[in-house]
Amino acid sequence: MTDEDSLNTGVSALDQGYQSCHVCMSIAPIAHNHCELCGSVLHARIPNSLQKTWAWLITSILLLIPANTLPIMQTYVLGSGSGDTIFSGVITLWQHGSYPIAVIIFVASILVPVTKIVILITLCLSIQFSHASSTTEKTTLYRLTELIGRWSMIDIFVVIILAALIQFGGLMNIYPGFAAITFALMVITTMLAAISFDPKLLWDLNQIAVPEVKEAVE
Amino acid sequence: MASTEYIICHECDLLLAAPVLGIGEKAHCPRCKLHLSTHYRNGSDKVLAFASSALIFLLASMAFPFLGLNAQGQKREISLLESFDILISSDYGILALIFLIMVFLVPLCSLLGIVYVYTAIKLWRPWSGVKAVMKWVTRLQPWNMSEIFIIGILVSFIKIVSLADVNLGLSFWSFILFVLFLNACLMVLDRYQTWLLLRRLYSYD
Amino acid sequence: MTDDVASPNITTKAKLSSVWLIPFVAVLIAVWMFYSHYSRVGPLVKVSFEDAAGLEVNKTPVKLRNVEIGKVESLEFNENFDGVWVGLRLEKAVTGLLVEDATFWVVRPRVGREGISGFDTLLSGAYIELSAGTSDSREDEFIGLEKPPATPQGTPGLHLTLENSGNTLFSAGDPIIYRGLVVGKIDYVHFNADERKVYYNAFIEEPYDRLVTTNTRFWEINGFEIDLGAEGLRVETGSLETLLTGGLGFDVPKNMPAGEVVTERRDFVIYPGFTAINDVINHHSLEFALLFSNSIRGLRPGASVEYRGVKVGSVLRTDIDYPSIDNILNKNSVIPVLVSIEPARIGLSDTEKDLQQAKIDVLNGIKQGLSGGLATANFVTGSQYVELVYEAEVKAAQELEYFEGYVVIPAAANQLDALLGQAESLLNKINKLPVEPLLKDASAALVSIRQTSDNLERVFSEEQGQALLASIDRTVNSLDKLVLGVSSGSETRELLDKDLKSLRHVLDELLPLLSQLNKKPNSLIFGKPQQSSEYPGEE
Repeated sequence: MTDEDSLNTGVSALDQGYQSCHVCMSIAPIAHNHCELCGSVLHARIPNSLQKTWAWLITSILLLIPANTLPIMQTYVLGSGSGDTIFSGVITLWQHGSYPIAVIIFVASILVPVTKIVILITLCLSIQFSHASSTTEKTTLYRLTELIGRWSMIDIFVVIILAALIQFGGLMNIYPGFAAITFALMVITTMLAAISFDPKLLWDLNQIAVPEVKEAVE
Repeated sequence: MASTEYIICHECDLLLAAPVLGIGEKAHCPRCKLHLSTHYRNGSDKVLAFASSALIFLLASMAFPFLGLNAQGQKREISLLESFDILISSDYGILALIFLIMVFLVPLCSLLGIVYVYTAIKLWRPWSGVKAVMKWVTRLQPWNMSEIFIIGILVSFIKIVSLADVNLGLSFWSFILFVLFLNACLMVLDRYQTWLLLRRLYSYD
Repeated sequence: MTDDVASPNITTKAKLSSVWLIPFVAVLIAVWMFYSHYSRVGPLVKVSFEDAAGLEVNKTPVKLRNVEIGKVESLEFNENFDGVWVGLRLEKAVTGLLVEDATFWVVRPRVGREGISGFDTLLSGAYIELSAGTSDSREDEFIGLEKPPATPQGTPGLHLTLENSGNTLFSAGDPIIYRGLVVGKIDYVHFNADERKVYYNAFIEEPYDRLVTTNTRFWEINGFEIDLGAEGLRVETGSLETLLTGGLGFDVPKNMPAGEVVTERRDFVIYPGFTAINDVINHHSLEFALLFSNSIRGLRPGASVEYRGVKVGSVLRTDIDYPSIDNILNKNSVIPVLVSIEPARIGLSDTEKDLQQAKIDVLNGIKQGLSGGLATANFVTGSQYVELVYEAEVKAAQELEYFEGYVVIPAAANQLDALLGQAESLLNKINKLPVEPLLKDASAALVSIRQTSDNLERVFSEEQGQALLASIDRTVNSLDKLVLGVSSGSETRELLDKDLKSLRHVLDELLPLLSQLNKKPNSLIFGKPQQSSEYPGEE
């Protein structure tokens, strides 16, 4: 009771020996392993957050290569097939004058994944090298990756819908290409990388400057 | 324990006094501006109403033809469930699985969980597993992609229009309504408020 | 501790919030969706096919006059795994067409005698075509046609059922010809295994359907028909088309009235040939046996049985497949010939009553010596017919014989045998003639003829004969002179010329009159007609 009264608001919780549950947001002392309310495993920071993030990031970069070079969609017209990669699909759409669609696909399938990977790499590197500047902006960038990451799936759904719809016997058929799988896995791995990343680590870099608070708690 | 007196921002680890929110008030982290909680009027009623509406439309969207195509005299209609069939039969089982999980199973399980949790809250009955269910509902959220699927449909729609006449089936409209209600429900569903209620329901204080 | 801080605004009261209108409306919308969807769902019918080639669930459409009316909903084997049941989900609007005689068939590319069809399905894939029926009773299980019917749907005309006579098998698409004009087709061929008969569904196009009357008879056109019958060799050919494929002809027999026009599906029998339709078909006939001890070569079933040149019946059987025939090589064996005699052909009517009467008459005839013999109908082909005759010498008390239950008409001698008999009796008569006295007379006559010729020789050799010759010579000379006098330049010739000229002059003057008379013989009496009425100005 008394120690809780002495808690300082506006200061990092970890420094005061407290952590919050990732699920139910209830707070608990660092010594607790499980949340007393929802039973989730408690940890002040995601364990091995950086390593996990790096691992997922590297996987997603590796997946990004086949996802962009292999055809994402196979179109068979009168028995003869042709494959479209993501980029050639965007170019075709642009040439056909479907500018909005071309832009949407370009942003969702090329710009977003690349931006997301670049942002996460930047964040990871800044933690790795304890670069503590402009943390608020970095947090905003992180939130952006969480927000836009899922939208990369648009192209996958387009391929799925087209493949399901365009089945016209010998006339015209569309099948998903191998890149559809790698692209989908790439989106999933970048999402996992974003989830594995703990933004608190960004703020921890700033906390180093105030070690006396931590001592006061202890 | 005074767990309810404080709150920790889950992005920047800032320890804050627990916000006491009036109706329609929102709480943000003063440092990182993370949205912490919103107190909606009749929040639990709204969550339950939206969730059950979304469920109704999700189930309805399974029953009818989803999209119809008319190309050179050939008519073709597919329902959502048939599209899984086609993907599996064309050896893209993994895509079918991703599609099935992200567009149907995650929202379906979330909605069923939300309905279960909020029925318990509404009736004020500490049913077993409510907390575990709520935990999973929270964890599943990033993987719900039904609204992205809607955008995907619209994009493919525009792509096909030059090839064939596309008719939108009843399922399509039903699915749109499902996505609308699902998002309304998730918006009204406030994690912090929910757990506060559950904490009281299970008499942790 | 916390209730005053954290949760003063959280209500758990069971107050019904207006937000509950949303799921209520959601339920209403969902219910409306289900209702509007399932109220439009039409009937499900099952059609059996031999196989499901080209059919795909949820893809293959069902069409009526090229308008899509449904889709294949299911494909499953039948109980015996020798066919498939194709489930079709049709639109509600066509429910009324799903009657007993509605037909379904798969349209896929076909190349056949009827031409190329279903070419458009080459790319689009097969579809199922529905042909609406006319029956009133609903049905939801059908047997699909394996081939599309030859007649396009909805063609106005008349559908007929034809029963095959058994000789030629026609196939769907074969023409039906009326006096050389193709007026219809055979739609499809159906084999009835129970009756072991082939039935054809034929279609006569409008306006030719009016040609089909109750007395119409159909016959096979085999393209090239050779009949080497008792009447001789007869060759008949149809059109080039029928020469290749065969076909069916129809007409009303010559001696029959046309009858009423057929308007609804009716059954007709196909006759084996054109001549057959003109045969009067009698339903009642008597059967008799003839036992021949000599050759029946040239006698065929169908050959006529005649009495004094009038056909009274026909030969039914000439084979020897009877139980009572053991070995026809026995010296005294007989060859049975079964004939029929029709009451309608011997002056009676074609009724049961007259059949009895005819039997009595024939039996009486037999007692009075009625017998049957073979006669040659055609010396070239050697075909024979049965001639009934009354034997000249009636053996007393002619007893009735029976063969295999048939009354036996005694065999009369063969025509040739009779001829030989006559020749023999002629020779006998010649033999019996008193030839010796005749020869004596003849030699006496010869002697007197010789004497006469001797006398004539003597006359010409004497003086009187010379004088006769001289006077003949003179006459000839004077005739010569007369001819010279009339020749050109002579006085007589001048006179003749003058007379001829004046005659021509007279004739020239007479000519207009004669031609006028020729044109209008009555102008001699009524005078020349007035011409003023035509051209008044020239008058």
